Amino acid sequence: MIENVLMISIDSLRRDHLSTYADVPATLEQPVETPNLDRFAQEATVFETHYAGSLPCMPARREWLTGVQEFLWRPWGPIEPFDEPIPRICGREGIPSKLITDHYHYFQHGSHGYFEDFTGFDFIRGHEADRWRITPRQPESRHLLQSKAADPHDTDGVGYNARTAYTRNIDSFDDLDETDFFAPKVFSRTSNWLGKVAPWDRWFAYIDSFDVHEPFHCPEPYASMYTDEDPTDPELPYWPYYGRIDRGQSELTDRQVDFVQSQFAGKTTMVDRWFSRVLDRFDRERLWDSTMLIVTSDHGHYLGDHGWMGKPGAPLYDVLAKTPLLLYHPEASTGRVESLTSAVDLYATILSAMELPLPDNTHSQSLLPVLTGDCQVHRDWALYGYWGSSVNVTDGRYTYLRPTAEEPAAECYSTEMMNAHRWFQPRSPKIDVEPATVPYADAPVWQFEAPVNTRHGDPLLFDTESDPGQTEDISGSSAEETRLVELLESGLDALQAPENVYRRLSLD
Amino acid sequence: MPAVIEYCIGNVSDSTRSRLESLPGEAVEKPCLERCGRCFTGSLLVVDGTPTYAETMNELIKDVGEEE
Repeated sequence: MIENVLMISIDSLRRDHLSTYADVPATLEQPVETPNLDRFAQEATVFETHYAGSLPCMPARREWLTGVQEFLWRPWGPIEPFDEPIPRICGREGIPSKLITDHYHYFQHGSHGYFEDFTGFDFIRGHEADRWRITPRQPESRHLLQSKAADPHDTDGVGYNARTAYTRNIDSFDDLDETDFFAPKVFSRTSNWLGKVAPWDRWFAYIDSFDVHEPFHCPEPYASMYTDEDPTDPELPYWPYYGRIDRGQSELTDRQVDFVQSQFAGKTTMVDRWFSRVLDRFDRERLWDSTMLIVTSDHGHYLGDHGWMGKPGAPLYDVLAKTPLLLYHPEASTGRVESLTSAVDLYATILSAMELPLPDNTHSQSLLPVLTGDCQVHRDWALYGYWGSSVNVTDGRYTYLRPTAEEPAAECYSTEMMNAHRWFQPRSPKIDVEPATVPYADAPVWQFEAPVNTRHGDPLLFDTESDPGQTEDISGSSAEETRLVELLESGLDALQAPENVYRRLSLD
Repeated sequence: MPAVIEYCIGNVSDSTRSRLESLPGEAVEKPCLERCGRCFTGSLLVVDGTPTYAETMNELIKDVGEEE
């Protein structure tokens, strides 16, 4: 048994930006400097075929913390009252838990329940649209332009999720002093906390770094590390809109795309440099003998890949869905695990490693058998997607996107049926709800129809062994499609997905 | 005529969506236009990359060129 678990998620970290996964990322002509994550990868088990499950941010966190693959039942929302989050289980066993984060979504409408069970939490303020500072009223014009916050119809920028919030939050930041920025604060605070936690015999800590997430606003030296441009040029955005890069408000010139890619890489290097504080603290406090250390991410981020910027709306290619997972366990050998694994599996892995009880009916399978070499094949399939949108399945080699039909309407199953800001549930009162159950809980939920965020028109099938860039769709021409459809049905059957999902996917 | 009209799925009714899709330009449904504060308080379309607001969606659609 290990005594402690430290789980670190680095939001939006693309695996091709880590040299343990790729020599050079798809977006640059040079490697991204990540010597500390590389150093950790040498000491850890590197998972080669790890996939996200429910996207984006909060759905991923519910998978990690409660073992529920939620996207088949509901969109972004709270920890359900019947969930069994890891920190609550720890608490019942007298084990303290700690959350350190700059992830402001925890404090937004409809995202409650995630931090409340931790024995303690630190929240570093100011990232993205965190509603923190309201001064100066008129932020610096350069940041208004580079963050694309300038809007002639919303000059005060007091609206919910207004980009102006970021420009105010960072108004006093010094671009020559990286300690003003978010990853340095998160990882320094983590290191300091690790230096003080020794009086506790056992603990669980979750470090949720919102970096590398946008805005890709970097201090020096990172801002200039991967570009010859002036990083303060107002013509060069560090916070592009989500969408296609060839049209609409997300349209970017080639020069702007190059700049965004350089700033993402710079931010990755900044995260890496401050992550070293954690490794150094592990050395100093001799935590390697007693502590499991996990580094992963919720998803990647399109940086012009397949013509897209960001996440929502786009089909789920591997840039977004195939995520890094580095896991150090004191009793496991180093090396690489080829077997298919899924984000939801971290829940059972953490509980098993700490010899804590695993609740019934979760969707999580412990990775310990593959870590210790007792098992070579962990999963035959992994499902991933956004609620109401296409459902994706992979066997580790082929990826298959199955689009949904417009009818019947998507159904949501949750105790939550309304959100003050439609983030991501209906904003208007639902009066057509029905009581229902979900197979993973002994509690009733509301069942109701809700508009979906994204629909895709056609299936997509890729052989990622011969086509790792996923540029050649072989759906409609490959015998593998029938097998992948069957695999998708097997996954849905195993999870006891709602009938509505089958109907929307045109599956019997 | 605008080339691209982007709208937020949370800010249009089914009938408005049909009208937008029948316009000459490309109507692009987005999960979020990342302008929630304004989007909730009125009607918003992003027309060729520029946010455009009005009291009602009807006004906006007329402005972007819906034929009578």
